[in-house]
Amino acid sequence: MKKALLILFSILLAQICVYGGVCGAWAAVGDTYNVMAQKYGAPARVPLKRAFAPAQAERLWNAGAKNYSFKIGGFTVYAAFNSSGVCFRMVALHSRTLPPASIFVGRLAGTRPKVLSRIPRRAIALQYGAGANAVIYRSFGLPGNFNVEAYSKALEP
Amino acid sequence: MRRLIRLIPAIFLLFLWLPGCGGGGGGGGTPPAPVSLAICNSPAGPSNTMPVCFSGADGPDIPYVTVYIDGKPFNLLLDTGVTGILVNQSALQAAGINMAPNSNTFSGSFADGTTFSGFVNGAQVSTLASGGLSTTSNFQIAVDTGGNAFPSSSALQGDFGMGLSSSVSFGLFGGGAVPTPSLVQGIENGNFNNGFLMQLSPGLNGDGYSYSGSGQLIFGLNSQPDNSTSGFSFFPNDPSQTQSYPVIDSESGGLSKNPSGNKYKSILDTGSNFIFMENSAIANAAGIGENALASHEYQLPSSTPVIGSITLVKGGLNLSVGFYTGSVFDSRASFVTSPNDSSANFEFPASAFTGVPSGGYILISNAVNPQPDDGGLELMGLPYLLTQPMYWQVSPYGIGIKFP
Repeated sequence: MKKALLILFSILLAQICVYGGVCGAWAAVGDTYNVMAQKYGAPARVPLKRAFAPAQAERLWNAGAKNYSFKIGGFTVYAAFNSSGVCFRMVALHSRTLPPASIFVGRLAGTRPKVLSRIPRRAIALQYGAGANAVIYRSFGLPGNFNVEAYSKALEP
Repeated sequence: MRRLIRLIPAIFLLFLWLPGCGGGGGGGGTPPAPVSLAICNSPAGPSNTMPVCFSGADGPDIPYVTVYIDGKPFNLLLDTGVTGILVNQSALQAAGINMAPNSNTFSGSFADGTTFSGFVNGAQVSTLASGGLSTTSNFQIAVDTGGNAFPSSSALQGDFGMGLSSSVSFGLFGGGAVPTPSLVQGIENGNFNNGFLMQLSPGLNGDGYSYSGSGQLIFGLNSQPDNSTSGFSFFPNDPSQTQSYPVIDSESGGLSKNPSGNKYKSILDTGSNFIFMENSAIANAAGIGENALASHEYQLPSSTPVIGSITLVKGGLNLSVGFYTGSVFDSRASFVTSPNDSSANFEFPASAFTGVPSGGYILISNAVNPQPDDGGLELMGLPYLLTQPMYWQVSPYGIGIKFP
């Protein structure tokens, strides 16, 4: 019976890890640079304009934001960090396959998102979480050429 | 301890159920009944023409064509944003066409997360019920068995992907494993397999700024009097790209005017009734600063050659945007943006669809800011294509536009 209990609690733990996101499996918007670097390896520093429009990049530069590129799940993802070293925005450009929300929204991936907008087959905007913890996931493009971003307005400089 | 052990089945069941909490949302009950569309017929014309109809069944003024597969009609989305023919398996079966699954499979997704998956099999494809063009041999069509992009409840039974390029590696069923030339490459008679023209004629709706339309596909280039390419402005495909959809590369001149260099691609996309542009391009067209656009501090612009008006309409903005082919200003279109919100980009709730008149269009900026240095892209959907009577030609070598 103890063996059965052990198996049961292993299953419970796995479920909590997967759906609760509390086992360190995630590194996404809202995580720190150190957490993401630990999870995905040393990133490459890239200019802010790689992931932002010029005017926005200049404003973020002045606010102390930094931008790095990571390899996550086969996708090249640009992650921008605020002056506190917390990721407030992640972007994947020109991905051949659609990067899933789970790699951007982390522990919120198991929650039911609110659909902010949807354009059939071309774009969608989803909100995971609420209030200051909300993370917006947006995708856009054509099969073979997708642009995806996720961001937290509360964390943006 | 024994009490805990007695609870094991309940706890186990609880956690088996938990994963279902996060997703889904479709609800129970019976699925909605399929919506049917009328067969897209047109007055008798040359055999190389195929009528294009518009329907509001799957969004405002979605273009569709009736394609005949093994002699049975199917209403498919006319979509230059993808390559290949995708048909819902249930629609095929309802028409009495039962294709045996095979190992030639495909799978993928659209940007809204909807999916397509299934197997590829051969069928005869014709453009008209009789007297039209037909494929000379079994054409490879993708049978969608597990996707939800075109559910059985949809009026559209699949995708008529008319994207075209010398490379199909970015096609709807890309990856190179599945041969999926577009229809014109498989159609009978070499006179019609070198490209096609699309003629779209807008009809201004009663609201004064939205459009519906009609049109036709004309197969072949320069093989008959009706498919002459004389007078077209021609934009060659970027040889470094392997796009399978019609793209006007910025090197040739993008369609919207970007103040920061124009290095991005304009994709002519009949599969969307939206236009996606950079914030900066919209701001430039509107004659306002990008920051002003972001903060929604709109004001009527001073006189510019590009912008006609910018006013609040039904909670959104009525933008008049100019388009260029090369350096020549050739058209202007009016759009309604999303209802106002506090974000820098044009996010809008689903209720936005009720904020504009039926058939009205909504313009939003790119979901992700495309960077000029990164070969950003913009989609020119139907609102652009229906701004005025227009011909455009698509061939493996590039695209052309002509205003009659």
